Amino acid sequence: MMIRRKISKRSRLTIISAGLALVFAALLIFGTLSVQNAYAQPLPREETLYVAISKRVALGPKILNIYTPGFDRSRTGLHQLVMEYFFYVNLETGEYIPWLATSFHYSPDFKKITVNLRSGVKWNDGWPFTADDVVFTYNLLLENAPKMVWSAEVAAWVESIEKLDDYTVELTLKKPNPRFHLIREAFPAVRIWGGVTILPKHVWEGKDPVKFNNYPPVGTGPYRLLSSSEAAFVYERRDDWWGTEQYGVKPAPKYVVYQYFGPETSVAIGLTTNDIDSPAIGILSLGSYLEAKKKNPYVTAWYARAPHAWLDPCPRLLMIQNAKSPWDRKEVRWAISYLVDREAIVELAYEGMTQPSWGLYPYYKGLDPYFTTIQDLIQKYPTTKCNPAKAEEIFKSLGFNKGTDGVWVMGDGTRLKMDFLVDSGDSEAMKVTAVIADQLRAGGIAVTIRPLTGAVQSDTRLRGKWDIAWQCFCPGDTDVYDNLELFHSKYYVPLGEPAPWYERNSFRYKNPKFDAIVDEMAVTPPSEVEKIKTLFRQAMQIWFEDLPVIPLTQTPALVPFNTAYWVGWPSAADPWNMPVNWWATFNLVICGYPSPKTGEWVGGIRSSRPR
Amino acid sequence: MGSYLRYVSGRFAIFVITVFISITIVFIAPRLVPGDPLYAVISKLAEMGGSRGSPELVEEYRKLFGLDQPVLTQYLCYLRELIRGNLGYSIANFPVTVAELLMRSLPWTIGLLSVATVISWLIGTFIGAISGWGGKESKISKVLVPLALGLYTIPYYILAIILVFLFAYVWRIFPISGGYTPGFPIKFSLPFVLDIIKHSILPALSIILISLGWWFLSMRSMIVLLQGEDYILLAQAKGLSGRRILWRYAFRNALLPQMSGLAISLGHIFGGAIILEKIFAYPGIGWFLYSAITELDFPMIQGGVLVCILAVAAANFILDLIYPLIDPRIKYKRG
Repeated sequence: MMIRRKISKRSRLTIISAGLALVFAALLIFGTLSVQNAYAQPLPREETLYVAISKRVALGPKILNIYTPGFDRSRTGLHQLVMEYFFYVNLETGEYIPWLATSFHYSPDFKKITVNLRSGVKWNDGWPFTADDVVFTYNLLLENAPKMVWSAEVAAWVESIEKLDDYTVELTLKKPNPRFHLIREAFPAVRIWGGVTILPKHVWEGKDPVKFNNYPPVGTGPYRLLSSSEAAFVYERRDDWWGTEQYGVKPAPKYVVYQYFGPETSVAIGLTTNDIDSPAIGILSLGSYLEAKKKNPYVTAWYARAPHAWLDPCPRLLMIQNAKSPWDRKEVRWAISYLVDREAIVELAYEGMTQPSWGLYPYYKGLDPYFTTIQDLIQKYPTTKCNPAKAEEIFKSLGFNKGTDGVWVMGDGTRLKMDFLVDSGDSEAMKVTAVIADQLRAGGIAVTIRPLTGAVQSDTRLRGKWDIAWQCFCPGDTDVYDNLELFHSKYYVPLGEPAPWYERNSFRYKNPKFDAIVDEMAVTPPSEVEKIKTLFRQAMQIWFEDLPVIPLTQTPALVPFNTAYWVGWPSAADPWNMPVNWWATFNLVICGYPSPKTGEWVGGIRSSRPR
Repeated sequence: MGSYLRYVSGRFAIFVITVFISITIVFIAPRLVPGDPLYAVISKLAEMGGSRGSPELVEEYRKLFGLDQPVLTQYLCYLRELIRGNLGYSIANFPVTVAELLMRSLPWTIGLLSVATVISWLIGTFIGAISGWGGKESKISKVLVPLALGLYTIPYYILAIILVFLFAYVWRIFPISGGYTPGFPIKFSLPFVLDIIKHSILPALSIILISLGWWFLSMRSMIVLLQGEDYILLAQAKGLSGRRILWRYAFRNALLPQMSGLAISLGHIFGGAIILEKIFAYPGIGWFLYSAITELDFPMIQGGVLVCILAVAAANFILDLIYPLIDPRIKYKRG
């Protein structure tokens, strides 16, 4: 009896163990092999465009409200594929491209702007897009300012909005502004990144505009959302898109997927194996890109050869805390500038992908006429020059002496110390900061790098609790006014209080003469080019003299493309658009656009395997 | 029975006190960090390429989240809402609630890490026992010990990268990353389940292989140590078979520390595996906690850490309850 029970127990155990092992093995084998076919092509590869995003999207899978502050417009693909804007600016060609609107004009006193909307546009649920939607959106923003993103800027400028007819609206401004159409936070025109977004009245009416989930999102764009998760947003082409109906143009990819593939190594692998068509900016280093390109001839970028990268509109500068001694002295700021070797930064931190920069603007052709007017100032104020001897001369003239440890000692006996704030979550910032810190140390400044990230970093930066910090300056892409306005003392706040924005004077510069010029420029229409040129020259004379921040480099945007499945990407050889999959303008990269001059359809990616 | 109830209520009191103290610390600690959680919102706006109107927006949300109130008021509100089961809204991901974010990420973490942990524990424990019983000179030990030591010392993320390179790039058997294939209809169907399994194999394998080494080595050491014990010698003297002595005497005794290790490991899986999630772009709570901490998202930190605290404390509590059942030497009575 005993023996029988023992045998039976053991047998049971053996059977259960063997059974479990078999089930596991079966699942494993079945999962690895059989699923290959079942799962492999839920989306046909040759009809799908894959964009690799840099991180997961926590807010998005179920809540696609473009006006909540945490919403990630770029990585979800929402403002590129579903939502559309009145106008788009093509930084490469300088075109102001009509899209949901066909034209606009100001009243003579620049207090009113009338916008003519495109007729025949439909939301993706079939409702027509009309002036009612525009009026509703502006009123919603005005009523809910400042809770909705950018609504504070809308409220700062817009007095009211009126529907003139189904396809015409008139905005009344609180004060005259001849460049209101260039304020993307208040007018639905995209210069860089994105703009204020018009909402469908029939969907949003009666909803809490901050908590409304907007799922599935209703837009006028060429794609509609098919499915979403934190790691991937899948879109499907609309056959009833207005571009197809009015121009007969059908976007080439049937599906577009914005997907998180993992870290740099995974994205490099995905690019090599043709699983990814376009990674976002900042994922791949030059080394990884070149390795992928070596292994896969379909991989390319803006330039097929060095420097590879496209020119980003936000140049990099070094902010100096103007409200702190000794950085409040312009001579000291100039000495710092002379200690910086920009060529070394280009080589060491950017691997040769960019070039030194003399000022606060991207080197876009549209700005050339303005740059020409200040060529003599650029020569007179050598902001790209590394000249440690000149820096030493300046320090000595200020009564500084070098201590035995090689660090400058100021007149009051204190060592010249510098607290260098850096966002440790930003690999570009970390690299550049390390190079600059070494250069300043070699020049006799005791530099301490303070890496912070997230909310602590933002808080520290805005409150000015630093001596020096690397920063990108946006958006001066088509209008010289914008970047000068960042230096206006209306944004000045005392140390310890949060500045309105990082580059919006967190460096605390104040010069009434400069302010007066910028104020005059603000009320001068951009069309008065000659007057703008004169004012620009006057402002830059003061800017160079004071050097409130130190120019460093132009900004490379390494955005690889894969031509295995999709061709026609914009490139230096054919610069018909900007190669940016995270901006709302990516809509135009996929679809192309009607030329404002000829009306003919331009660009758009196409399949490399036409059937 | 009375003594067991006393024992259980004592342990439960410790569990409740531990959780209360922990959630209080978790409430206070992030507030000691010099930074404003509302600037997480600013960080998001920074990605828009500079932004006007941000200060007004930030102040509005400060009021909305009650962060303009004194800390004591915030604490009392937090406790009140916690009792109601409300973890609040995430600041960085408003209007998503913390509970929703947890519910979205926890199943992936629990699914992957618990299965991988149990599999590695089972394999490591059983092979470790057999290897230990065979002695140092056995062939199996000579092969497996160096292998286990090698696996144990490799960081799992290095192994993960190697696995991706081999199985996703060179041989292309498994996908590079993700929890499932985008575009797949999300419903309970065999293809979808198999797709999930397929995506989880590489992440699971990197955990199993690494932790396997530890479970193997610890079990093997225990069995080797037990071989000189009196009761093993007695069993041998009685003429019992080696297999019977191993599984009925040595293995059962060596199992206790392994069980403790397993319980603690299972408790810790709620902390996620951030690097693994990063490498495989796998959904989970590790990334959730990392984002919460870097963005100083108070409600998310409180919610996420609360889950970890509850898991670890519950694992210890359950272990305390079942220990006396596994090992009769542990008694409920004092003295």
